[in-house]
Amino acid sequence: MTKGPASSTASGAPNAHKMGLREIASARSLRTIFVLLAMWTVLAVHPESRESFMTAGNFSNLTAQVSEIVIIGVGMTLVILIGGIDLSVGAGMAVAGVIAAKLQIDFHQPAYVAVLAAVAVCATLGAWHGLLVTRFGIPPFIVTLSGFLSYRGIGLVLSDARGLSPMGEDFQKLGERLPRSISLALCAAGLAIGVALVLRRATRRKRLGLPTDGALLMGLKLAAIGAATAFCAVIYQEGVPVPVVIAALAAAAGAVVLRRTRLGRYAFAIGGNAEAARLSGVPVARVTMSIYVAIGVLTALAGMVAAARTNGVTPGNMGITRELHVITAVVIGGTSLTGGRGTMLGTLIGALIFGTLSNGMNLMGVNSNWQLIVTGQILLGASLLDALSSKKR
Amino acid sequence: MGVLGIGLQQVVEIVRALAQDAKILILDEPTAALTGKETDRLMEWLRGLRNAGTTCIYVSHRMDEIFTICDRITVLRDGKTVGTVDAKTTAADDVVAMMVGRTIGGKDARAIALAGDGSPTPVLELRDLSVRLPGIAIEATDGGGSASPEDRVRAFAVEKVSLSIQPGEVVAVCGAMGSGRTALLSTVFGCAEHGYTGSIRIRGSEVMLTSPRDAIAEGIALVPEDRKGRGLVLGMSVGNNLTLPPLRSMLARALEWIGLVDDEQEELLAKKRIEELHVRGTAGVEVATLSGGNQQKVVIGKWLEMAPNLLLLDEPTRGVDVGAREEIYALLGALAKSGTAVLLASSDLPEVLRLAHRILVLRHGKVVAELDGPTATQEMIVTIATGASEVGHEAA
Repeated sequence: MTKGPASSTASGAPNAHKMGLREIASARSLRTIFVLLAMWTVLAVHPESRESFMTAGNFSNLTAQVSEIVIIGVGMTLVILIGGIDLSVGAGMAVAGVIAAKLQIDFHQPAYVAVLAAVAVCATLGAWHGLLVTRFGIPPFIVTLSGFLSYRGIGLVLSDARGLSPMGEDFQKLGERLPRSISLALCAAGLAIGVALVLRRATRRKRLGLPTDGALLMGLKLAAIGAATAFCAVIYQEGVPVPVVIAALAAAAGAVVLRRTRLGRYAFAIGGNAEAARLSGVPVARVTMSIYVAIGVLTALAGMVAAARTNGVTPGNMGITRELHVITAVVIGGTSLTGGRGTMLGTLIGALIFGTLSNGMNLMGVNSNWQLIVTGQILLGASLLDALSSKKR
Repeated sequence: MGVLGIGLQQVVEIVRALAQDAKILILDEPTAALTGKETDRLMEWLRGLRNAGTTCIYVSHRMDEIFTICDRITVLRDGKTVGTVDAKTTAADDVVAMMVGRTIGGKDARAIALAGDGSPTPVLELRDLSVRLPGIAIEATDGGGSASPEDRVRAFAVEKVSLSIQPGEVVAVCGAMGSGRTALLSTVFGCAEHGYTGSIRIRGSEVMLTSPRDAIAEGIALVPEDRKGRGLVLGMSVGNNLTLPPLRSMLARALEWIGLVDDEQEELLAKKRIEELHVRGTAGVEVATLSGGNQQKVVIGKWLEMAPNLLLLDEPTRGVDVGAREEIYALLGALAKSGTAVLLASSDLPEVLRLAHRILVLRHGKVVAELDGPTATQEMIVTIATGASEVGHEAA
């Protein structure tokens, strides 16, 4: 690109158009979306699955099933982005579930007390992880591996290794569906917010003389928002599951944090080069700490969703291997395990790919042993693709 | 290898190349991190190799070295050959003109005129600043070939350094590798891991600097020696690197409490800096794709928004091409004129002589001399920095 004096709108316009096209072509998230759509297409036409897959009910279930992964995935994306890892989330879900269940069953507390207590405990565990990582320099892998082992144990000790059920009636609502009218209103609100943000960005950039997206990209963005809204309106015609709403809110908040806030930018900088970030005045310890607390809170929320969906807690296997599912989804979504690179949209799509794999293979009658093999290979394939494309760069 | 400083790593590279008994030896900026004495030794080796029939391709921007060692000079600019000239019949200024693409003005003219001495409060005042070495064992190796007994028992990276810098003044710190230049700058930027003793005063008031954030809050900025390792987040874009330190001042007013960044304001700032500094690249490209000179402009540029009181520069033009170097010098001139005090650590003596109002010479962590910039010479600095004046003539 040639350097020159402040570009006028005239010279800015063709520039902007090129930028738009390049942006579209090179977006890593877009590639992942294509993989997801390809999988859906195969499942929609394959004779074994075509009748059961393309139904509103199935999609509604699929998204409810991945909501736990998405909720924790938001936190895991941040953790991995700063070059960390959290292996304790599965066990953390069990602890959160046991605490919430005990409070309701043994102490007859209302749902909100149970949820707040679980969130507080998991946030504290996250803060503890952050402290060990930042203050004592213990590798996050070790810190959270210790949590992986001991939190499961804590859950078993607290519950005497017994299953706890049923949860309170108010708590069970967390696993149910919202009424149809509210579902539709939420879809409409999503559409309105999406369109408003796109338009606001365009007008603001125009006013400040910055290159704008160009009609093509603008159109595509609005079309994508519209299509996503229509899709949601159709698959949630029977009412949107509450876990999905929580996951959507978490993903939206995560995307805003990552792309638009100081915390997100600092996270990118720390993951890219922690020393350079520190020398630029980034409060590395504080950001790391906040992120481990955030994943603690999200882990507790995912635990609540899981406990509500099954209306009970079995501490021995609640959330078991969940940490690996979440990491798989995050990596498929294009977040680099070495830190400094990642998107929330990628994690969302990664979780949907993960969910589609197990959903699709269930529908096709593939036995679960094979599902493990295929999932493992998909994870490897996604990483291999990234390794090859980053070598080119 | 990892524990060696950049300079010693380079020595190892060169020795490895020499050990291979090559027919053609290509050296890319081999002296960038070497001291004068080490450079002289390298020149001797190269002359021996040339006489023995080895072809050497010597890539460098240092005129004195090029004219010492080379027979023919090929000048490249923007990836194209500008021309090939005979070293014996060409003047250094002509080669520089070929490199820059224009004649550069008054080579030894001091770019910076000291601002009026009407301001009695120094920007930075150090009193008996001492920093312990983290491990004496490492320092013993760091001394390299010139390890004297004094080196082995040395417990301080910086020992009882006192100095003061006025607004608009450029003070250079010279010394051999391991003399404490980098440690001094790091400490003033709050990076002394094991603390320091002595006092640091910023604009007259005593401060305790225990982290870079403390230093930044006092209006201190650092351009570190290791550009890629400590200066830049290579995977981030030019724009995001430029706006990293001033990010806190670019929050959307309505949602400041969650730290929402005003994207557009940020982009405008990045664009402004890129134009101002003539960075060859746009805000969106990864900073890793830029040349060394353009990367260095980004490292300096990220501090401009805060208008630093004190700018700490550690080898600011290492691996930077002549054109960008001139631009950086001009920028430093403008900063000094606006009242920024500059503390410059450099092993590039022509650079020091050209920029500095005063020169402090460090040896083994202590200030052993203070020279007046305009009247100092390279020989004076080298003699004092190596201790040659005390030890007497040292056999090479």
